[in-house]
Amino acid sequence: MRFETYVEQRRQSLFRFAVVLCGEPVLAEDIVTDVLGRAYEQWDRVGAADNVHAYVRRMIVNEYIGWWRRLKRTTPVAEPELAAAPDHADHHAERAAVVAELAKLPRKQRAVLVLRFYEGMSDDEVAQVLGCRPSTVRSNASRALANLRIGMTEMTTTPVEA
Amino acid sequence: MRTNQDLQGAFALLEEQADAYGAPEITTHPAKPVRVRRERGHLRRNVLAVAVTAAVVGGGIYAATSMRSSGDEARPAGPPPVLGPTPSPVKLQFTFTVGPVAGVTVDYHGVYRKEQSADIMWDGDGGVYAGLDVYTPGGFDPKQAMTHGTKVTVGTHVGYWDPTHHDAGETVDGKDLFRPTLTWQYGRNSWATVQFEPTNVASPNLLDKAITLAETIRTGGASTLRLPFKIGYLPPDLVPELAYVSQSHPGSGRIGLSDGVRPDDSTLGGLSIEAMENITGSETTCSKRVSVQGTTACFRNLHKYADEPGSKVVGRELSFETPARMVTITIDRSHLAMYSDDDMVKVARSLIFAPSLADYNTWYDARTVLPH
Repeated sequence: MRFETYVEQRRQSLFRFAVVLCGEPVLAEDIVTDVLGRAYEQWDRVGAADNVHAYVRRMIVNEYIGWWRRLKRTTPVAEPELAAAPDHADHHAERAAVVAELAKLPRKQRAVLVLRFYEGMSDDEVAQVLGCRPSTVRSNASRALANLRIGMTEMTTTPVEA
Repeated sequence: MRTNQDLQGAFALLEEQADAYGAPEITTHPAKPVRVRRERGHLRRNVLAVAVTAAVVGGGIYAATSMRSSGDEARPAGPPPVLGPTPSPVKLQFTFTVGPVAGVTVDYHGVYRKEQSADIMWDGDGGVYAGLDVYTPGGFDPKQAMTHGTKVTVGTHVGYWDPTHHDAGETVDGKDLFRPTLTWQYGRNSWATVQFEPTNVASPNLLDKAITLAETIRTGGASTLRLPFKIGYLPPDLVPELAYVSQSHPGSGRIGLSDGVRPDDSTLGGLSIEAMENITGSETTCSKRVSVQGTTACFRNLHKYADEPGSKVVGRELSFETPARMVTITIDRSHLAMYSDDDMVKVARSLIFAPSLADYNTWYDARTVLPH
């Protein structure tokens, strides 16, 4: 597949994924653009991957986590600004409240939640992306869900086609 | 208690925000993919961050998917250095210990001129995290803690508990963030703090957790700080200013060095060296290329606002990578006239790396990494 074809087909879904991951469109735009730039430079390798889209999404996750880890001790980093959400309905207000609390989670916890419950990956797959043990994925997911006050017993994995 | 539907609803709301914002326009021009630059406010990502930078291409303004600066940007001269006395070296070892405390994980983090730090995690309690900072004598002003906190006792020491500690400017969605903080005096004019993450504001028993932890902290001893590289060459008069590590994935270590020239950015010192596990892939755009350690290294200018190449140059960076690691050598603006590109290359070529960035135990005792 040519790079241009991949971008044309996947640009929107990559951007959506990045916004869900980092919670902020401006930052997501930078991450997606940076990652696509690097993918382009290595397209011989990236384009030959068994699952190109999974490979690029993994680059996005690593960029998101790696960038933040690199900065957190050197400079105060402004938390993402969330776009104003209408609160005319309880349903919408609750969704906005969860989004706001997602923004407060440690990045790794948030990445676990997004990969596990937005991307629908298994614990093993998430562990592979994040470079940690499946037990670490489960403990991070558990902590994240507890922080968001979401009941584990009611959780079901809902894969989302990106 | 919320449900899966609430979480999926939050994801859906973020998708709506993504769609409303619109995906970035990507095109390949002239030799690499670029995006059309949108009008927006400053995105204040640190100068060290991987960032999108702007370049004028063919009369239109585009952002190049590279790092920081346009490809042909020259090295700036920098201001004339203002020399002063060489500072005393910061000792590259931890002089405090924590615990053990059941259910608590301690990740020793860094040593700085005024404090040493560790990251603390309480297991099995819904994810409670805190930062521990142990300050050198005179390195911390307790005024805010005394003014806003409630007096408590930490062992035999006086302390202050402020469950609504707020640092100016820390906000999310326009609302202030609060970091519950225990501050206590562990010695003469010497203070330490345990500061919880904002997500833990409503967690139970924070004060008990903090005091239990604080009472196990011992100072005056020494334990090893490790770095993932040794340095064979440094320009003269540089002494350690700080060092910090991340032991968990991705592993990384950085040392910052200072001399008699006051750095513009005291968070890194005048010259700093970092090695980090390579998890993000190659970035090859640069203003000048040299051969280092069997690979190609890139020079770039660092700008005050990473996405605005017209903004003030705040430093210069030389970076290179292998499949296993990314290495960055940085000088701040006040040292541009002090250290040449050749100096930076000489430092880069002199580095010797620990066998595995993923295994902290293979790293070097930080006291042994300097050439002098």
